[in-house]
Amino acid sequence: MKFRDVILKYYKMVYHISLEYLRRKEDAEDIVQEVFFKYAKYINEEKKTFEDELHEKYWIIRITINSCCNYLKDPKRKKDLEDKKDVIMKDNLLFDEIQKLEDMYKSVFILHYLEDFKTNDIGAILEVSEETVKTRLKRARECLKDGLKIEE
Amino acid sequence: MEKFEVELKIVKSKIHEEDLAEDFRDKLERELCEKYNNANASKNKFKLLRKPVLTCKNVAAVFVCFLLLSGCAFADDIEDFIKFMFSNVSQSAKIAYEEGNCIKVDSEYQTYDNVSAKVEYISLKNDELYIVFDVKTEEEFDKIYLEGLKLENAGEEIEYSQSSYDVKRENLEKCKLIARLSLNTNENKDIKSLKISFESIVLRNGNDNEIKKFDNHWNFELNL
Repeated sequence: MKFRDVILKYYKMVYHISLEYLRRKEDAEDIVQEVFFKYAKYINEEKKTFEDELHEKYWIIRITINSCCNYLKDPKRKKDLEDKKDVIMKDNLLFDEIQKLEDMYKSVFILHYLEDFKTNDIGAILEVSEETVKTRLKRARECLKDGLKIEE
Repeated sequence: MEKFEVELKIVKSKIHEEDLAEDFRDKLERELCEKYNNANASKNKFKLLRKPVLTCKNVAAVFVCFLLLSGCAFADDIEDFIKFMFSNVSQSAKIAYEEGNCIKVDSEYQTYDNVSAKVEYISLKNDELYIVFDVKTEEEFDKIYLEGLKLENAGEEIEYSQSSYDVKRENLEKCKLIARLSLNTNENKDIKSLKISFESIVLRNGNDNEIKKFDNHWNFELNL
């Protein structure tokens, strides 16, 4: 597959995951750019290849999530998000709560509930066991329900 | 629990409505590809996918043969259809017609709940494949698209890199849904039969962002 095709195939998925993580369109655009730049570097400079299409897709998702987590480590960016400066869905309570989740819960929650990945796929993407994914999902749901004050 | 699910649905649908601004996407594609191509002088380093896929050239050839064999029975019909369907959608679809790469398929309707669909036309130009579905439903919606769309040629998947949907209403209960797919063109392969399958027809109502999915594992097998 040509590089252009890889971009066309995955840019939307990368953009959506980034938006779910970062809430700001500008930030998500930065991540999209960064992910594909890393991809080009991975293939060209590091001379790496992918076993198959799925391997490639999972790699791209993993890089997207890692890039988002690193992006939020910048205190200024974090503050912008806390102040809800230019964020999408400003008044959505659930989306607010998702942002408050710890990274390990946030990633599984986003991939499962917002991107429709199965737990075994998430395990392969994040390189953890399926059991770990299930446990994290359970914990994420509990945290969100606590935050939203929803009873079981 | 119900509130949680509803909120989740809202977040999901709003996020999935978002798309990169077109100019940013163009820039991204252009600049990154340029960087990539400069760095990668060798053309054969990027063979990540080994699955055989259909070439548009061969699909086009089969479509032309089909038209030659079936005579001009559909000619007027297709011309009217092209005028109606693609006038505002795509120049390449018009060219596809002019070059004879547009065929009328007219499969049987399949029905699930109160949605019926059939494949009506297929058109191809370069790497763009258009599949026109006739959809009947009494449901209200302002956006319609398919989820999990797969194409197969004699049991082998035809890969595509991008899909988009356009709709033309005929009346309140009937519309034409045009799926536009950018096919990958890595290897040569003759097309024998085309299987079009998808998990669901999705109807979205913009007023309240309500999404209705009709999961029927829709499956159309066409002998070309």
